[in-house]
Amino acid sequence: MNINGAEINIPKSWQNESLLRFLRDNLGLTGTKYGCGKGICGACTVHIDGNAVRACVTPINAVGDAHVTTIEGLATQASLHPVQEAWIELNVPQCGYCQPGQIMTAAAFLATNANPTEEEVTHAMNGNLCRCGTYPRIKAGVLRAAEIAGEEHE
Amino acid sequence: MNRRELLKATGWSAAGLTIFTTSGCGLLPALPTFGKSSEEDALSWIKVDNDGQISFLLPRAEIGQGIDTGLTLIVAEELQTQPEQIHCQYQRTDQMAPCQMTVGSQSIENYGRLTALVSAGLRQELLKRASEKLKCPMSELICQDGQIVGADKALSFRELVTNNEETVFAASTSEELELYSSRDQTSYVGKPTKALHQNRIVTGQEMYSRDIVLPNMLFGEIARPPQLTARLVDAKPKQALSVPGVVRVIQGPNKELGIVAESPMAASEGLAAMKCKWEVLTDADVWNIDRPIDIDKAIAEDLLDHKTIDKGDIAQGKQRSITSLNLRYDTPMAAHAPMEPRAGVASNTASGLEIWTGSQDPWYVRAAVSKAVKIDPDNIIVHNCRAGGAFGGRIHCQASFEAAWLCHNVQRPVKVQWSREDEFKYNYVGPQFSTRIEAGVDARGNISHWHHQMAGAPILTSSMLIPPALHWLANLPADPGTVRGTDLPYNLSNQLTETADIRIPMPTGAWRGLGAAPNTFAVECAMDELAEAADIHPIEFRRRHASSDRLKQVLARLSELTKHETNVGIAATAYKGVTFVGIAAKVERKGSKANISKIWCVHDCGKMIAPDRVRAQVEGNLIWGVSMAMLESFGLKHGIARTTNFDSYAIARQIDLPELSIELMASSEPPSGAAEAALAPAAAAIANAFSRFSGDRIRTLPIGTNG
Repeated sequence: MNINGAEINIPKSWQNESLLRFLRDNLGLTGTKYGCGKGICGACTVHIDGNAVRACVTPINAVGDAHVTTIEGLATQASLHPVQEAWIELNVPQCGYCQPGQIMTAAAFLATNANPTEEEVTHAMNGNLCRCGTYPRIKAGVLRAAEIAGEEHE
Repeated sequence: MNRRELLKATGWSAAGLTIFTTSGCGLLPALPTFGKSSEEDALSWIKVDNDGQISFLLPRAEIGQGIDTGLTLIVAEELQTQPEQIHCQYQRTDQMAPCQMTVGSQSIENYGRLTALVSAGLRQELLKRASEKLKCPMSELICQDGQIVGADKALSFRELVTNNEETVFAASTSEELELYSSRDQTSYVGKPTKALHQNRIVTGQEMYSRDIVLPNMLFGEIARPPQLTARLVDAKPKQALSVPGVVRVIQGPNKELGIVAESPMAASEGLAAMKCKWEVLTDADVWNIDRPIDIDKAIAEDLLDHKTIDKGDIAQGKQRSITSLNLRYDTPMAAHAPMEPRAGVASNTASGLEIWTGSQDPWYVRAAVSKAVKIDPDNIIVHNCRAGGAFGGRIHCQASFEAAWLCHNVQRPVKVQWSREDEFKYNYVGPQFSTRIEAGVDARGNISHWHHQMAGAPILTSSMLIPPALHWLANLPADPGTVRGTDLPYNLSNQLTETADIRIPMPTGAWRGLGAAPNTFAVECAMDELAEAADIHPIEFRRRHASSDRLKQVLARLSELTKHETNVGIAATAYKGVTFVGIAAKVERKGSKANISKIWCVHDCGKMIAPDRVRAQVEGNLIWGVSMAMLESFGLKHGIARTTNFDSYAIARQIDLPELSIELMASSEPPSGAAEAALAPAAAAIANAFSRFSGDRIRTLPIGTNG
């Protein structure tokens, strides 16, 4: 398995576990959060080959040799991802616990839809829960990230 | 120790409870930290290290409310230094005197001025040192951007730290120093700013207690009852030891059973292998746990033994009324459902324990662990991590008690991580509230009488905090948390309020705003029905009864903002008498469903230190209000939580977000709380909007989304 660019061997005793448990409790990559354990809340969202998936309901052995990106691997050495930049610009987080999952969902969504409408954003982000109620800023953040990404491409 | 001293020492007098007698002394459990910090306590909060770095030890728990940003702005203002230059650290029990638990939206109110005083004291100390070094009077020096600047020379903070000492603290706090954060013109306070710790959060670097990893750390599990109150009757601990990776099974004096293992999987497997058998509860036990709170039953059984307001004469007022309504309102039990299920990590040290928690009161965690494992509190260090949401549900942080107990026994670091199901099943909930309001209006449109009867359950005297032997004592006065919101912000001449705290086996406790949201739901829905009966616009009806000018101003502004709207639902509050909120909600048809399309909120919390964080709290409160009004209901059946995850306990999602129009009123009044205030009237405004939309009054929550 390739996680954030590094080749990782999975110890035998972990092979029947979820990707989330392996990331957090074996590798110590704790940026990806446990929220519900059932794929309902989105706190554990990571990318597998660029697609947003729920790590808590993804068995490790289903990942194969795919490329996994976690919140720790989203930014490059040179710069933050446009979604991260937008999140900071708009002060999106409150407690912040759900935000890595929100950001990973948003980044994967924008990769497939560079100029979304508000309504498309609402539906794309609807599977990620936030108890603090940062929804208005999440929505504004995704739209702002689309702008930032557009500016960077110009 | 006499009774008054005991009350002061335990903090119960601060909580408004003045009933404990010395006979209860030996039974007193670990208690939350009620007392406020002193000026002397504050001296250790802020310092300049020998490398010139300014460190601010945050005296509050950071639980998402943004107090890290708010208080750091005050430090920045007093030192005239960019907030980014100040290293804001979370609470540690070994580096500061106990701080009041972080509850009730009191942090700016109770800690803002102290933070300013000690920061000004540090500024004074640095000016004094520079004055001596530069041989120049202090009056000719200013503190700016990490330097003390004179006419022709500047000294960095680093140059002011003498070689043989590590840190510079304020020498004292003095009321005579000018507080820059109180000036009309400020550089950082009240200005737009970046919230603190955002870079760490968006890159996954922020460490919540669940994220702490220590070398050689074990994973712990605790045997938990399938039903509330059920006791363990049998288990096979030896079978757990045959599971590879299991290190030890630990049994407590009261049949507590825990297990530690090298991996989380081994801990779960080991727990399952023990085949724990639990007491089967009788039908009567289950009935007692599940029984709902019903105001009419409570009245019939004469349980309303607290008379909290008694003014004028209800019967006389009723005689004068042209309309009298008798209304019943019900709200369900509610879960906190923070996004981070609680966790705790504990490590053994030479003399005791070191604990990582995410609690609203790390000193309470220290006291509870100290009592449980019999280690002196001075030998226990608690690191209070940023919590992934609290909302009143983290006074207790049981997972850190459990980790400490296991670690103490096995003498290796242990992490305990509650599952989402544990979080729903084994914490306390916000109680059910059941209310009757009999009230009327006279021929002039004034409220003639207001008879308020409410049955709820203990909040500040939660069964999680008070041992059963002291319940009778705790039950004597009305629980001040449960009655919050029953003291109306309106002038009434004939008013009677009677309440009951019904102690059910399901532990009840603080939930965002305590009684404010459920009680304000009842009060503001009843106010709306009275306005309708009097044929007066609901804003005008409230304005003419409002007992404070600030509430009148909020209502006047709300009226302007919504003057072109018809059928908006209105509600208002004076939260704890200090934060004034008016809300309007609009319901429209969207497809086949009635839908909340817009919420207006006018909010006055006095002078704002970090206006963007205030706005964030108001946004969050309004969405929490949507969630409470439409969706939330904690279910108990057969003695166990029926709602155990987000599939059965629904909370608001992105799709539930209405358009928000928030106006934060500029004010020079002292700062008051913002983290709960706007929630109080939100559900009532929404219910009133639905009532106006459909013509049918809503008196029970949640409304549900199928309508």
